[in-house]
Amino acid sequence: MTTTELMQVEDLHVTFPVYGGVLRHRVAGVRAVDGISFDLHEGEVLGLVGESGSGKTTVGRAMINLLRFTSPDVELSGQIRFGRPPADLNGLPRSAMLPFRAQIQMIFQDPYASLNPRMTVQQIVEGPLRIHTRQSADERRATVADLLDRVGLQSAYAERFPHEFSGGQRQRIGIARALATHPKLLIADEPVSALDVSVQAQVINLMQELKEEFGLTYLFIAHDLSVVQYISDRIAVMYLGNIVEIGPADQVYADPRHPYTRALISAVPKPDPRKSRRDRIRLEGDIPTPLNKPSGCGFRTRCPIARPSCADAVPPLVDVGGGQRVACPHHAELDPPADPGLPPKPPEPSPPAGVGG
Amino acid sequence: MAESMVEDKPLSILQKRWRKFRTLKRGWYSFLFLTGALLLSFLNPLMINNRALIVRYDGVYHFPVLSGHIEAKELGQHVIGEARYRELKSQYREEGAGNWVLMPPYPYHPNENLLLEEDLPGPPPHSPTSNHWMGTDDRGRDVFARLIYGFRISMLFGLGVLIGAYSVGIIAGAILGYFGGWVDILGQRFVEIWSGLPFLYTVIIISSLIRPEPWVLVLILCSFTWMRISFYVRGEFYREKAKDYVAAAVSQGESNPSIMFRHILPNGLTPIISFAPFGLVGYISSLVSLDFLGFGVQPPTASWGELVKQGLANINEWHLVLFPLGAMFCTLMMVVFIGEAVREAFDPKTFSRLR
Amino acid sequence: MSGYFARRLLLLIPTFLGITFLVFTITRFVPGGPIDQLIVQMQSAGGEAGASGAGESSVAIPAAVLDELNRQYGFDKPFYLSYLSWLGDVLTGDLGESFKYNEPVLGVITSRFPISIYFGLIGFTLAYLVCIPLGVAKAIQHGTPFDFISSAIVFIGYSVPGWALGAVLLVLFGGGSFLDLVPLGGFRSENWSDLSLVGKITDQLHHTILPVISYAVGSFATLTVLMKNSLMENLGADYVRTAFAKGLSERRVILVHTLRNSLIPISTGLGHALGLIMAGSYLIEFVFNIDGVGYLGYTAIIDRDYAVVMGILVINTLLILIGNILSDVLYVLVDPRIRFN
Repeated sequence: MTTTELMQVEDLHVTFPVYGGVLRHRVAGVRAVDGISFDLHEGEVLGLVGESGSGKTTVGRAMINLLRFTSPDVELSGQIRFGRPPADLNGLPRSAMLPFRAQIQMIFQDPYASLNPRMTVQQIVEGPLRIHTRQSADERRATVADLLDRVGLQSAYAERFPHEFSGGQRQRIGIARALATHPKLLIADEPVSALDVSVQAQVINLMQELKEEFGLTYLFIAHDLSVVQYISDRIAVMYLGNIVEIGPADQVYADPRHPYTRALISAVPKPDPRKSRRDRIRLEGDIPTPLNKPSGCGFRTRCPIARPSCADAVPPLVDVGGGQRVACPHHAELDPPADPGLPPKPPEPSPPAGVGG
Repeated sequence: MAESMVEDKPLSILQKRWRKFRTLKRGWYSFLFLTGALLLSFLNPLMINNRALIVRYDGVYHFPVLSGHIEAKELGQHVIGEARYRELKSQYREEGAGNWVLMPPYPYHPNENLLLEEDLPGPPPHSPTSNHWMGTDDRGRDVFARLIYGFRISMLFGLGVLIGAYSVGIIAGAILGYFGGWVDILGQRFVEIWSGLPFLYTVIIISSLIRPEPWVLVLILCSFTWMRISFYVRGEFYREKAKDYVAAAVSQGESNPSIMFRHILPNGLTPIISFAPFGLVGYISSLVSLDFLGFGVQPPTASWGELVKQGLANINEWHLVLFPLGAMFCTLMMVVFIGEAVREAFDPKTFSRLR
Repeated sequence: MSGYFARRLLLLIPTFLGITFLVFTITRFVPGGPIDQLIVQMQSAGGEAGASGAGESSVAIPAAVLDELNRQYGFDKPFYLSYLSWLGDVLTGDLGESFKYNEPVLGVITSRFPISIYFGLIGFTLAYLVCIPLGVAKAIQHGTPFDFISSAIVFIGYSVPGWALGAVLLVLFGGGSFLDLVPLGGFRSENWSDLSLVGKITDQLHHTILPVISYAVGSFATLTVLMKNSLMENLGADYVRTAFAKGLSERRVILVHTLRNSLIPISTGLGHALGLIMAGSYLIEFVFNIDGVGYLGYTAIIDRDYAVVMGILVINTLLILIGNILSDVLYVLVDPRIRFN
């Protein structure tokens, strides 16, 4: 792993105000992201994992300044530093953000919604080229043909419309669009969770290949540990707007230190069903709403080792060695992992596993 | 998927809808007929006119329809002022000097006073005769000619309002729906206040200040009809804005106008396109209503509503009511058929049900 | 939820002020206002000796009289001040005095309300009574010749403006060139009070039938199609599938299970209808010579009877705005799934 930092997120807070009453004043705030910090090193894949509602998608959207567009009154604080010399992207006006847009691209979760149904593949993929390059129409056509080829689609498909493609093909179109400006950083927001299991592996393999080919850095967001595990160098686990554990992927898998991570990993289906049934950790209840977050450690309401002091303050991330950091002061009390060395990397991603279910 | 890829020419959604529209016979033929009739109506002066198409007099050809006013004396007719071509025609025939006149197929002008015609005895309005298919109005003008000229005015007026109201409505709705927030709240109040203005009142006021040319009427009606369209466009933009393809466009750095009109608009047009024919029905009947009340196009322009007004004043003159309203019914009905077909082509809701 | 409707009611205030202010301002800047008309009247009265026409301004109006007139109509103050004093009067329930009838505006308007409501309500009821069963029948027989033909008829009805149909009906049945079945218009015959009870009823019916048809025809198409589509949509729903699977008869499925849900979109139109019923239609009232609110508004505009114009505007605006909110309330009441926010 290189040590060059491409992006640094520092103390990012995202709160969506909730309005109520006759005069629609702010009555509450949904703390979707509640003070998280992490670095992205050049050339690495950081897997960002969490349940729905954990704020992982919000983090990805905050990193490309998308939140203000969809919710103009969102409350944002913290820093998102990108590139060298580092520039803070947070709160940049749209015009100042423009040069960075070519360098940071996004792959969206739903390949049906993220491609404009009224545009041809050519128009979709060449969109970024029209904005960020001065290529002529012919040059753009050639570029698009090349991009389609690289993502494994026939260049003859360029004149077709999205509705003529399958989910996997559509996601390839989305990837081609994201690659058009040769970005440095790709934020992949659950890129395979809408796809069939058999197609998921193909798309992940493609992303792996393209990473080498284009020298990309990924922030790979997923709710499914088995998907992230396959592609990630490091993993960050989010719960209720906070990162509860972050570290090298192998290490986090082999020795998860946070009780939540441990529960998540135990929920990943294992090749041997008899083995896995026994040590499955079941979490009680549902994830609390970010609108009404528990005080202190957000996980304490479901935590098997919670104690009264957990309600006092949000536990900071503490280094536990080897680059692994955990936000639980009591992690030492957890039993050593039941099955060291497991789970092995499966040859193919497994079906999505629900947490605790 | 692989099979459908064999098909060589991909069709855009719009092309598919167009094909579907063409299969809906009632609407398609109505569309062909009305388009044809509208195009043909630009040739009205060649078909329904009291000026001759061609006059050959002393070996010289004249084209009064194109050249306009020609003194009667120049064509050998002994009357003052412009030549009267229908009389000239019989005059030439009697003279037998090789001069001739070619009249349009229906040789009467909509604004021409026919009181001096021999075949129309008594005071106007006259009942239909073989020469005057739909009789004359209370000023002795040919109803059929006025009806046909009124068709062109009505259609052009309706289409003009359609284009104007849609342009304003789309832009306003796009801005409200896209930007949301305060823009939307203030904009919606404005739309609400604007919608509350009494239409007839404004028209009457404007007619009392200026002589409303047809294009002024178009503007007035536009300013009273764009709100409904903006309402739908606003809703569409509001919904489409939340979709990921818009987020993708933003994350690529597209400008606001480009996102609004290149990305979102084509997706948000569907409902208002299927309303368009029904809007046209409303606009045309608005013009007829205004003419009926006497605040529409200025006299002596031919208009359907004005004929109906005369008819209701003379309840015995059925031809003044039934013919223009019949023409309006037929026109509007065909527009409705088009609208029905457009709607079906755009919204092919297939109802599945048991039994 | 109650917060939502409270907010809607609050937002009603700026809208109401905006509309009335705009129209009030317009009335101040239009030529041919009440003072101009009075001057013309006085001139023609005073100039009778000289036998001059109304347009001639040979007779000078004394400045004192003009001042008095201006004060009377509030033209001596800037328009925004007179708007405020007008608004103050309105808030105390005083809509001013009609310049044409020399009566309080409220009385002038309310005396015409019963007539407009009579025709509007009957037309409206007729439309619902015809359209709901027709829509149901069309949905059940979707795709049959009956569906096709009734669609065509309904759409022909849609393409005919109500007043135009009224004109045609008058020509056909009003005793011109064709049948003489009904009177040419009006609310009742002049000798109505002298008629026997049966005579009164038939007379009223004679005067009612054509205007009511004209009122109703406009809403036939939209209502019928709305009813049909709504029912069709519900007939495709899973709960209907379940009902059939339980072995219920089609009659029961449609009348008990589906119809109730399908009436939701129809019922919400009731709120919007509030304004329409009360306001009448000046065109239809014009054609049938009915002295209702619509016709009153039309003549008030023509005569520049501003107090009446503003009075009708106030009442209509309030009815329409409240009707819109009422529609939403109805929506919530009949459809437990709807929650506004």
